[in-house]
Amino acid sequence: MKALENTSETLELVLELPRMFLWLMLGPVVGIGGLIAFAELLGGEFLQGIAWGLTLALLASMGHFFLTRSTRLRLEAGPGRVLIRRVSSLEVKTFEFPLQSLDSAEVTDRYLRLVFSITSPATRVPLVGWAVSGGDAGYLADTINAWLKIWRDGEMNNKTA
Amino acid sequence: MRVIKQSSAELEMTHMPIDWLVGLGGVVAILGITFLRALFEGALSGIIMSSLLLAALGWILMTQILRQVVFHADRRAGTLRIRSRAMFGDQVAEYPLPALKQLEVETQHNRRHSLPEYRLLLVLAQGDTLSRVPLDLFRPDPLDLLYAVSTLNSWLDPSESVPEQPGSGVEGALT
Repeated sequence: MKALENTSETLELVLELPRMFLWLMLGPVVGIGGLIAFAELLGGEFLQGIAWGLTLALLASMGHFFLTRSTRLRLEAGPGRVLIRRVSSLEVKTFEFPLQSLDSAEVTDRYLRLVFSITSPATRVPLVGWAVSGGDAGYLADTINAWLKIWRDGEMNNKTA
Repeated sequence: MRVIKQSSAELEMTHMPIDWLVGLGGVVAILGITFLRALFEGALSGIIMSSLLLAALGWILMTQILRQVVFHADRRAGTLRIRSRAMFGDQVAEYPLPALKQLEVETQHNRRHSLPEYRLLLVLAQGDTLSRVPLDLFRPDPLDLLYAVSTLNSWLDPSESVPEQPGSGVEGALT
């Protein structure tokens, strides 16, 4: 979780798990399971070995899909839009909303959520599928809210000028 | 939710729960491997257990998760057609476009654990009253629903300009 750009014109954040997580979570499963599958094959238990191998391959693919997903949030003052790009190993989706529709960001149940006021009551959208601990999510919510405040002040000044 | 086609005359969006497809599809595939292994080894209890689980999860996978919902709004035909493509047949519902006021996201909290659940609603005018028709989507992401609401409501509002290409100018901004 980090801010890539934070200027009065643009705020860009990226939310993804560090690559280290992928190795820490999948490494032991694939390593130990692979050794067992290899031992089964060496011991002549071909059916067991192949079943272990296939199961591990599936688990590793699923783990890779869920752990490497990332979300990029970009707020642009000029065009007045919010861009959310979700990238996974199977698809890339880009969502665009007007900046006026974004009310704020908040952390609830350890999820960083964007509050969109297009609907009534407002819809709270989790930016990533995993809950977070520590101060990163709160820091990002504060960064988004501070940027929105500056942008709204600018809009108000433009209207009164 | 993905925009397939967008012009001033037509709007087409599609929804499929890819996350659930990967998650549950993977579990079903692992159960399939377990079933075959039990079959080759002649383990009766393994065959029964894995086939029961396979049947239950496979049914959810085939009827709910491998179901693609396509929204097609056509100004010339004056209709909103919602087609649900599943393995055991298609379902089509058609609504008159002039009666469609807007699309809404409804947030409700689950009675057991109070976590929010999201639904997409069609708001239709019936004489002087409004009726809300819930759309059957499997565990939708609120961002998908919000995007569908924003896109369809902008398209319905004739005062808003509609880009001819889906996501025009968006892809270049986020690389």
